[in-house]
Amino acid sequence: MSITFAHRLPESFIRELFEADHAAGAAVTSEKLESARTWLRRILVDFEALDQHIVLLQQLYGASFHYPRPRRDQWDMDHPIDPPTTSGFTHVDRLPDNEVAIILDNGIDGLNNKALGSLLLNPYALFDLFDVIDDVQPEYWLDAIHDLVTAQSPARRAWPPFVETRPRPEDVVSQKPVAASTEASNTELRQSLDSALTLSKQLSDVLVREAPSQRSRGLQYAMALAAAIAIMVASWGVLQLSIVVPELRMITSQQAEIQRLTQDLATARKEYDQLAQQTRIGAPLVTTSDQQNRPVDWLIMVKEFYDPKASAEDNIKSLETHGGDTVRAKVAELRSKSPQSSAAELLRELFHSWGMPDIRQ
Amino acid sequence: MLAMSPSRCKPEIDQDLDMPTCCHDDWFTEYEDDAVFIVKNRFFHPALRLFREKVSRAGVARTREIASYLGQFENYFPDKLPFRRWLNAVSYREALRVLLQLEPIEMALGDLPQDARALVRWSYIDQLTEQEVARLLDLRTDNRLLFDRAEARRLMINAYKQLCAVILRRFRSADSDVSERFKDCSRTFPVPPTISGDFDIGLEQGVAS
Repeated sequence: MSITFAHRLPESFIRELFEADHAAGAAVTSEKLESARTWLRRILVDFEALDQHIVLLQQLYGASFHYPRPRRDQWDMDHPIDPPTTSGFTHVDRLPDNEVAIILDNGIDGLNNKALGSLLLNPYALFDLFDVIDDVQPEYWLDAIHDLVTAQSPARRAWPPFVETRPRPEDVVSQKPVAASTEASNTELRQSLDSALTLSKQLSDVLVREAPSQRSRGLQYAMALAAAIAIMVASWGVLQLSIVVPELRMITSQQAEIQRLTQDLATARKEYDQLAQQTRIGAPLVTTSDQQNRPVDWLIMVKEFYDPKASAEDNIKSLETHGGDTVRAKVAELRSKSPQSSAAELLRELFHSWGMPDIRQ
Repeated sequence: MLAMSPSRCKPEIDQDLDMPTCCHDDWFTEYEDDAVFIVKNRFFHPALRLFREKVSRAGVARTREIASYLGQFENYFPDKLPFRRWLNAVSYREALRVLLQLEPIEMALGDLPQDARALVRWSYIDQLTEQEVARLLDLRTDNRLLFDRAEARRLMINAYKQLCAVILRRFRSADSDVSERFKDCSRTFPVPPTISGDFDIGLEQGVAS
């Protein structure tokens, strides 16, 4: 068996059919018969193609279409959900069972010009046929799908895969032009987006960890978020992104907040630099897998080497041991300034010099 | 040990079980792309659009292992045609098992209460029946030997609807055309395969719950 399939929505042909339906009835002309059949075969086995076709019908008729529940999800029901009694479409009835049975076993070549035309303008009958073919898996259509898939395989490429020529409504809402939504471009977009999100997460993690107080910690996070959003929005439309990453949609719904964050970016950066300048205590290296040889600041020092249950003396020793020359020099400086100070006072002074006056023994 | 994956569909004798082992590799290779295409067709849900190919291929790949295992049973598939139908059906089931691992679905799942989350996992990953869930949750009836299957079913449907509601909320487009075309919950996320019988899974109910 060799069955041919169209790979592109014949938009002008469907428009002509729609216009003819209003005038003299939706019969397919003899010269268009074969192209109508190749397209119908396609939409009966390929949901992407069917959906494109139905989008076009919705626009032509100015009517909405709701996909019924597929047969495979209606286990005990005898009949599929009936089409609505009121609809903007002129053709809404599903084909009778005996006609469906013929199509299941012998394909669509038996349909006459008028039946073919009506079917192509009937989203309910089209989806019903698609669904019943998917559910029953008749040999004729399994072979047809095999022919289609084999012809499309990279090894043969006898026919190109289905090409989407009409963006879906969900793509149209993007602020930027959207390329044809092939799997390849979707994958590419996804990968780019994943990279950007990973980057933004890493950035915000680093900034939050290094922020020297709760107040500026929040500020750094906002800065990282604003930077990440700015990068991504520069590359893709906000709404397109929002479809791909629902999290971002929640964020982007707060447009004013984002604008404010973006404006604060320069200020926040400056403030962060100042704070970093003031609080960094040198560049002792830690080699745990967590810290990756990164220069540490007081926050990590305290987190790693300060034990609130230990004595002040032990804590000073621990910080001197792990904090390197810079910490030892600072402790020596404080001791020389106030030789009478207790270990607890010395520790408090040390913390204070790092901009962290609230931590106490 | 069973000889699980001979390279060709040629019977081999398993030393331990003394039975012929065979796989359906040739048939599988011939029709696996068809199965991917058919399974992919079923994942038209807007939330799954970007992952259709990946999920379908994962489902078919898992089915290959099952087919290889079943190859040890002589005449398990008497002919190619039942094998092809089996391949499509099982590939879809297997693809459903991996759906919850997808990033957006995992995040949506995170928004559900813990009990609903567990029910959703049992429905898709384990594909437990209502009866099995009733036993799992110890939903007893007056008869100690019987469990409340109807209650289990109600809970499973409810959990599914909650998941759909979260997905819908997260993926709702500014343009209502999308939700217009996908009005039923089954168009938001595939229905769990083991919930039997007719039930109302309209979008409004899903959102309301």
